[in-house]
Amino acid sequence: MDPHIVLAKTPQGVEVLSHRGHDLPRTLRHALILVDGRSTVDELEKKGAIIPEFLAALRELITRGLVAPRSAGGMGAAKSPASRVAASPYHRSLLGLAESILGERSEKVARKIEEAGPSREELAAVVDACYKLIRLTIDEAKAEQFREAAREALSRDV
Amino acid sequence: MKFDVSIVVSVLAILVMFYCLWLVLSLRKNIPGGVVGGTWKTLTSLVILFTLGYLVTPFFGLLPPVLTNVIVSLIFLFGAIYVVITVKLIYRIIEELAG
Repeated sequence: MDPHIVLAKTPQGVEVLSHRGHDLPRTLRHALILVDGRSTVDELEKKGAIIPEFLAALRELITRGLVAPRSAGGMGAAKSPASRVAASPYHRSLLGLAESILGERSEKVARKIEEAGPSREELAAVVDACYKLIRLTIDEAKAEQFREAAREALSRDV
Repeated sequence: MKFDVSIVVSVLAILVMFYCLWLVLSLRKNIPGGVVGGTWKTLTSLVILFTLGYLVTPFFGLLPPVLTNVIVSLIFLFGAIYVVITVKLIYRIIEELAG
């Protein structure tokens, strides 16, 4: 995960925190509380040093669409790919993953995700296309990481 | 003034090679890594080498024949390596897209 990106709670994330009964493991809940929309991943890692597997928890929160990257120093999530299109929670989740895994190189992948149709089949096809794009032009290891996380995100019910 | 076809061809080759150099360098930022990005760096190095080699060709008449032969054979060798890398890259891209 890019240590310089700033993470913010999505409306879903805020909603989950406001309802105690929500099915969210304690580790994820604690990690979600720490996400303040101002701290970078690097800073959050220091704040959450006591939480086991903190980075994995952040990744999980992004996959669940509860947290999304926003541009560092920006005024709001409107600049972040994760919030440019609110077509569906799946879109937001995939955009968040792309941003967190690829950082500033996520632009082309984000565009592909934004253009994808709303069904899971269409999104699954776009994940495969993004995987190939990342593998060919960005980074082979990150391509695997993105595909794995994206498939997991698409397999969830939102 | 005597018209020398080889000089004209050499100058054309140098111009084409400079265009190629501009292409590889300007496209590089779009391909930071991955299967293509890794190979792109090697191809860029080879294009720089060819550009330098091609720049020498108009002066072949001034160089000792032994040196000329070495330069030409080196250009041929690296040209062959360039072709192998390009063919393998195209094949890998096809494999990735078909897979």
